[in-house]
Amino acid sequence: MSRMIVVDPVKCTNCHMCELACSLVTTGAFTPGKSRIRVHAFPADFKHIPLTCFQCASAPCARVCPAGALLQGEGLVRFVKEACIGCRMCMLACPFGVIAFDEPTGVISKCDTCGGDPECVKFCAPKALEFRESALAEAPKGRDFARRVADAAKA
Amino acid sequence: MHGYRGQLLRVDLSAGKSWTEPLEESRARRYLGGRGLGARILMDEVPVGCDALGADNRLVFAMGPLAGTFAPGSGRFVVLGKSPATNGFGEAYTGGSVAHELKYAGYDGIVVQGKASEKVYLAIINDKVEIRPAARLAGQGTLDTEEKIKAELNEPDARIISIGLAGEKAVRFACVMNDTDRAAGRTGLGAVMGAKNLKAIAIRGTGKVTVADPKAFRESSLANLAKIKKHPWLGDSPGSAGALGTAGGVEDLSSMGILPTRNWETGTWEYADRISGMGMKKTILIGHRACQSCPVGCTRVVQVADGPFAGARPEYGGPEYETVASLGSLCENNNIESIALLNQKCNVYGLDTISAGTMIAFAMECFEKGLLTEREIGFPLRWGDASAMVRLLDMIARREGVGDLLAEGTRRAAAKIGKGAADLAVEVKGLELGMHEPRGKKGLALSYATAPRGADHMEGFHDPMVAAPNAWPELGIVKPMDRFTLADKADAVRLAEDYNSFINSLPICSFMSLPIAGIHNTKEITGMLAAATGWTDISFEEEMAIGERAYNLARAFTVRESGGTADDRLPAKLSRSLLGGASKDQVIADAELAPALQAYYRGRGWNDTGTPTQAKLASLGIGDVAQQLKGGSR
Repeated sequence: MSRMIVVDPVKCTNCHMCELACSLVTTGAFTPGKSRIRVHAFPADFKHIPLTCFQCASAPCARVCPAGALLQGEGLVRFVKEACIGCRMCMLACPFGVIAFDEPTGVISKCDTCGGDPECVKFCAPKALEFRESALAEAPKGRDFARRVADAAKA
Repeated sequence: MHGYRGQLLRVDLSAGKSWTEPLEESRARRYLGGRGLGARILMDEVPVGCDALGADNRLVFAMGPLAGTFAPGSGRFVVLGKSPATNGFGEAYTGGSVAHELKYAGYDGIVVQGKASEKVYLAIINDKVEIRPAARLAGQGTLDTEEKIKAELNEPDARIISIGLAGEKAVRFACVMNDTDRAAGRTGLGAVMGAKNLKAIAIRGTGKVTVADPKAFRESSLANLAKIKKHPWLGDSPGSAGALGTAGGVEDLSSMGILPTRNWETGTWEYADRISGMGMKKTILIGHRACQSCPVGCTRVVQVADGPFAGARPEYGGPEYETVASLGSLCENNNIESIALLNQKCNVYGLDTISAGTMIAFAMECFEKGLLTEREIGFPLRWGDASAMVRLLDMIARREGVGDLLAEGTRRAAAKIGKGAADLAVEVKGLELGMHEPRGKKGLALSYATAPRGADHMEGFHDPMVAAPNAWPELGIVKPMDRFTLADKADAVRLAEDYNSFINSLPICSFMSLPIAGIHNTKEITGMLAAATGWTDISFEEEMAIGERAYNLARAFTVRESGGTADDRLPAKLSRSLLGGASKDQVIADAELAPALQAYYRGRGWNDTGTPTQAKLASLGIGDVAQQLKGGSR
């Protein structure tokens, strides 16, 4: 079974360490603008939403890519840098805005789960990011909700 | 140079220009950043005896080699200048996201000099620096200022430092705010910024911070992170700083008799559980969040939508420990919703919550004793009257009525009131005490008496931290120490101050190096510093020397500006018995403090009036400073 980066926005504290971990491992420097995971903060609503490539099972980016640079796999949309022609059609197609264009290299950049061992997850202290079996990704959320129902019934 | 960006941004508001100045590696290694770098700049550039609110004062914003990275607690910077509260060394630390952003913009710090002819703000978009008019931001609160500037610059991701009305009105405990709810709280530097007509600094940086050895840096950071996560107070436990905030220990402080209450009359309070972290969690708390690169997230987020004290909004965070004590127990205010509102008002106005609460408590006691009348105040000001506190806080920020007097801080206000009011003023060198009762943790009393910025709770140690054996073996603090004694603590206090001064020169959040319950991460911190900078031979001893050098610079600045050290004393209240509770009847008498001071001065290599000697300064490689200290070299 394939695994994915599961995001729990409720646990996110907006510390941005995931972005820094990603930028160091992918660019060799701390530059959050180049991170393949981004935390979007909405202070008035007290919401912090980390977004990264969700490795769609039927990925619009892979379907639209004219160069065969984005390949649909199981639990991973693989990026072949050498094949990328820098047309940015994938950025247009991605519903989540998690594909970026890297000016200096002229190709796109997106999460590759660090080859199955994502660095961002290791630096996420509040455990808002976890690398888990994708089929069970939402199971803890269900359990948390059930717990709240159980608590409410008790009270 | 790795870790650093290798330059400081210089801004002359009188001349309306800016430029960059290189930060050489030799200077970086000697002073590191933060306190060390800032104190050196103040010593070199602030004219002796200058008016803290004049054009000659400097306002320094300083980071160091770790800001911009994922080093735990590195989202930190320090604001420095001559303090309008103490007329000595002024300094205040803050978290949030500005430190990182300034590094990405290309700077290790900003030095502001001069005074703009009209209200301005500074826009720093990478290497593009502009001084822009800010007349329309006059009187605006933090969040409004931020939103208007972001819209004007069309930079929604800009990070912003600003002052509120209190800074514009030169309230002597006005603070510098950033990221809406983060405060560089102490020593009145918001008034310095206001006096320069500088309303705000907007920063957007898209560059990068490199480290010399990414692999080693990552390993040290992860090792440090693992220790932090396992730590009982910083990790995941139900009573941790993440879960309950810094106010998690309020009930414990009260039961130990060291929760400052009723303007320092007692240290125990029956309503402690209403203002504590748990009290907040049961009532107004909606969650917590973190400064950048912080694995803990002690920031409270509260919301109060209705009731007589409605208004607290999530953008403004929530009250931390110092605030619930100063605006809570110190004033006998047990209404947490009002504390949340007062906290938010302090963030909007840009007021130091410690000094603001202390001013109100002082005024309440003056009212009780008839030194300030209902006619002078405009309404009765009774202990615990939260509505009256809200009114008074507004008056202080606006300098209206009696608020104009109280905006001067306890020392100056007490002098104007006369009639023995000075006995009710709880300050050292003009800075109100942090919310930590030295009669029940006497090692702290020594830091309060001697610290460069006045009654400073962040310099030395808090005695309960060293009550267990082997508390801080890295510093040689292995023997348990009784919190009610002062004797034999001078060396330990000095060493803790020096190490903390190193941490403050990095700077990283103090909580990331706390010895409390044995974090023991000095090796990991050294590892991060070495890997970031490439100074692979840096040692704990060199770090202690950096800390001691920074501490002595800060002290020297205060000695130079105050002309002596007769001010190394404690407020009169502390020589009287603490009422009730587990620290009942404790006092700190002059007879107890005097020998401890002498032992401390000797340990520091200062003369018997507490002035750093030529020999000591020379041994730290800052011998030139001695010339600025009259009588410093006997």
